[in-house]
Amino acid sequence: MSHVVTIETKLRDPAALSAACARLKLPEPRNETVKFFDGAEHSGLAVRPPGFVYPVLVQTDGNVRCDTYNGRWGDDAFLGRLKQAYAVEAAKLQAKARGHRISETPLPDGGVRLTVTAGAVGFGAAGNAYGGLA
Amino acid sequence: MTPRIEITVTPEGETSVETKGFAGPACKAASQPYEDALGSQTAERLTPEYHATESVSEQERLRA
Repeated sequence: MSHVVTIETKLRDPAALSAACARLKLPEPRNETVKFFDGAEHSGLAVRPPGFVYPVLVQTDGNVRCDTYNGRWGDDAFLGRLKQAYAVEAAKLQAKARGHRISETPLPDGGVRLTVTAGAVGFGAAGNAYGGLA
Repeated sequence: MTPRIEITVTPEGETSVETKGFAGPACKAASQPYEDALGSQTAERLTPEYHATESVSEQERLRA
């Protein structure tokens, strides 16, 4: 072990978001402009989980906008599940693009552990083989 | 130990990335693409092993 980094998940990659929705058995997210309860209009990729009055809107900076009315218009815990699914799928896409192997292990607390190994290709130098991400 | 990256994702969607079995700063270059793909770094902790490996490299450099 040499270093540990804590990351706040940002949903910036549309491909990983699509894969996350498929993982959660939700429809493909679509670009929409949504007028929320406060009258404000916002654009982004709209994720529509069952029971939500307003969609969960993922904006281009990776931030998420939604209005669940303290859980009455949608389950607040869903946002965590969406972020988790996104993180898993984003890591898998990254591993695929780099030729790394990745395995997934469910944890007792509902978390997920991913283990990435590089095998013969090695981890190599820094650089973004998977385009489209900041 | 085979070099590997372990990514843990909580049910709330928070993520930690941990490198294991790397020699020196190579661990940072290896994990950076995964960190960038996942979001924004909020904290970083260098472990004792990181510093131990660094000091060995430094000694080798001084001897050269």
